[in-house]
Amino acid sequence: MEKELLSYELFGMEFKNPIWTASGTFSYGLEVAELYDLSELGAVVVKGLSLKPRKGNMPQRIVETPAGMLNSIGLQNPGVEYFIENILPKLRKYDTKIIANVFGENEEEYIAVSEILDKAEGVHGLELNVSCPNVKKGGIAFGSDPQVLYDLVYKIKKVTKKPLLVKLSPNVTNILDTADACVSANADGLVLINTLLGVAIDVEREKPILSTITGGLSGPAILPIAVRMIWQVYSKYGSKVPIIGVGGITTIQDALQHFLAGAIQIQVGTANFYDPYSPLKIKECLIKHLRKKGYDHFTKLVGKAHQMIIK
Amino acid sequence: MIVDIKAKILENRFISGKTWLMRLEAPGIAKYSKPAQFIMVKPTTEESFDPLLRRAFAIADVVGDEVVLYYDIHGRGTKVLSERKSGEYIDVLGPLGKQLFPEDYNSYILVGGGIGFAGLSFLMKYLREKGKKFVSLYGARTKEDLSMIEWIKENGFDVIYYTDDGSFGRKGLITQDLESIIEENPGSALAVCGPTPMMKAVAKIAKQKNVPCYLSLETKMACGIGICIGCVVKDIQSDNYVRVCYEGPVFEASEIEF
Ligand SMILES: Cc1cc2nc3c(=O)[nH]c(=O)nc-3n(C[C@H](O)[C@H](O)[C@H](O)COP(=O)(O)OP(=O)(O)OC[C@H]3O[C@@H](n4cnc5c(N)ncnc54)[C@H](O)[C@@H]3O)c2cc1C
Ligand SMILES: Cc1cc2nc3c(=O)[nH]c(=O)nc-3n(C[C@H](O)[C@H](O)[C@H](O)COP(=O)(O)O)c2cc1C
Ligand code: FES
Repeated sequence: MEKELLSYELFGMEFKNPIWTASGTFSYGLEVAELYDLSELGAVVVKGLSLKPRKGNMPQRIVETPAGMLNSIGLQNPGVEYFIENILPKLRKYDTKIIANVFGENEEEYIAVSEILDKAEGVHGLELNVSCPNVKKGGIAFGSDPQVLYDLVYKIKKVTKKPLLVKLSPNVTNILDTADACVSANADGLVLINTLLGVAIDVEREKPILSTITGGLSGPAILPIAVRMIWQVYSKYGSKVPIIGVGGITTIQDALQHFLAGAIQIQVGTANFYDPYSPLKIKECLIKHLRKKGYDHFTKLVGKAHQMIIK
Repeated sequence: MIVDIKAKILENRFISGKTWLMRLEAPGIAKYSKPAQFIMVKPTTEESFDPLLRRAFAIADVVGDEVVLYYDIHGRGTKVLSERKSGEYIDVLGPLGKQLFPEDYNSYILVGGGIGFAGLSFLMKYLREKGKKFVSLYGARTKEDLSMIEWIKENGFDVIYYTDDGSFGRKGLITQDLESIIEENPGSALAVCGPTPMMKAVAKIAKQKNVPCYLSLETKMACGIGICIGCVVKDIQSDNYVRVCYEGPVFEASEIEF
C-alpha cells in the first residue's frame, strides 16, 4: 500500500517514498540507525563532504531562536575518502537512496569531490551545497552569483553521470536568477532551500552568541520562505525541473505545503534534532492524508496549489 | 538501547533555590540507565514546538521504573517544564551518552558543583552497590542551591558540603580541601560535574597531583544523539572536535580542551 501511494521514479531510479533527511541534520545516518531502520526513508542526504577533512568551527556552534535555531558547525567532516572507505559500506546496507552533499572552497575542489563520488558504489546522487564562500572570489558564496554557479554546475555535470542536484541558497535577491543558471547548466534537480543567514546576541554578555557571529537559520521559522521559493521556481518551470523541498518541515501540514507549492520530494532537517522520528511520522500521516483526500498517489498533490492561478 | 517514550510525570515540585524535582515513569529508560547518562526532554506538550529544542538532563536517580531529574530553572524551556503537571505525559529520549565514568578504580572522589551534583548522584548509588569506596564533595553558592541535600539524607550518604557564603557546611570553595582529600585517598579517580570554572579548577589540581580526573560535560546540545555536531569539545590528541553527547559525556580532563 505504501509503495502504491508513495514510490516514484526520478532521475532514472525509484525512490520508495518522497521523505528524505536533509544534509547536516542527520550526520551520516548511522547514529539514527540505532533508533530505526533507515530503509524506511526515501533517501538519506549525508553531511557535507569536502576533499580534505575539516575541523569545523569553534564552539558555540548552535543557538535556539524563535521557532528555529542558528548553526555555525563550519562543515566539519572527515573528508570524502574517509567517508567512502569507512562510512559508506555501513550505510549502503540500508535499502534507501544515498545522496552525497558536496562542497568546496573553490571550483577545483568541488570538481575533485564530485569525481571521486561519481565512482563510489552506493552513492545514488550528488547534491551541491553552493552556500559556501568562494575563497578565490573574495568569499562571496558560489550560490549567490548566477554566472559562477552556472560555470560550477556545467563543469561538474561533465565529471559525473550521477544525478546532480543543486541546493540553492535563499540568501539572494531573486531565487530565479540562480535557479535559471542551474537549469541552463543542465542540473538534474533543484533543492530549495539552504539556511538563511542570521545573528543572535547575548544581551547579558553584550556580544554575539555564535563563535562565528553569523549562523544559518533553520527550523519552523523558515517554512514560509522555503514554500515561497519553491512556489516561484515551480511557477516558472512547472514539472520540467524536479524540486526537492527543504526548510521548516516538522509536521505533515508543513510537508503538504511543500508538495502543494511544487516539491516532488521533501527533506526533513532540523526536526530530526527535536524528534528523530519525525520523517517516519510524516510518512505515516501522508498515507492517511492521501486516503482521506481519495488520491491514489502523492504526486496528485505536487504543485496543486498553483492550479487556481496557472491557466 | 535508546528509546523515545511518552513518560508519565509522577511528580514535579519545587525543591529549593532554583531547583525542581521531576519523577517520571519510564521503565524502558530506567532499566538501561547508567551513571552519567542523560535524557533529552521535550519541555512542551505534543502539539507545541515553542521552545523548539529538547533539553538535556542528567539521570539523577533511578528507582525501579522511575527516572528522577533535578533541574534548575534557567530559561524558557525549564520554566515551561516546571509548569507541567503530574499525570501528564512528556516526550523523553534516552538513555543517552556512551562514554561514561570508568568502573575499574577501587575508589573515587566525587566533586559536584550546584545542579551538577545531579550528574553524580546516580553514580553514588552505583558505587555503593558495587562495594567501592568513595568520598563525595558538594558545593554551591548558598544553602538553597544545595538542592539534593534531602535526597542525600534519604539515601544515607555522607557528603562534605561547601557554600560560598558559609550558610551550610564548610565556608568557601569546593576545591579548598581537595589536595588533602586526594592525598588521604590514594589511588582514587576524580569524577566531576558542575560549572566550567569549577571543573577547570578541579582539573588543575588533579593535574598537579597527577590523579585521573573524569569530567561529565554539559555543552549546548540541539539533538543529544550525535546528528547535529553542535555539542563539541576539542580532543587534544587528534586536534579534532568530538561530540559530547555521542563520544562523551565523560572525558578525562587532560584529553580535552574545555
Ligand atoms: C548532558 C547534560 C546534562 C544536563 N543535566 C542537567 C541536570 O541534571 N539539571 C539541570 O538543571 N540542568 C542540566 N543540564 C543543563 C540543561 O540542559 C540546561 O540548563 C537547560 O537546557 C536550559 O534550558 P532553558 O530553556 O531553561 O534555557 P535557555 O537558555 O532558554 O536554553 C536555550 C538553549 O540553550 C541550551 N542550554 C542552556 N543552558 C545550557 C546548559 N547549561 N547546558 C546545556 N545546554 C544549555 C538549551 O538546551 C537550549 O537549547 C544538562 C545539560 C547537558 C548537556
Ligand atoms: C546543524 C545544521 C547543519 C547543516 N549542514 C548542512 C550541510 O553540511 N550541507 C548542506 O547543504 N546543508 C546543511 N544544512 C542545511 C539543511 O540541510 C537544510 O537545508 C536547512 O536546515 C533547512 O531545513 P530545516 O528547516 O528543515 O532544517 C545544515 C543545517 C543544520 C541545522
Ligand atoms: S547535541 Fe547534536 S551532536 Fe551532540
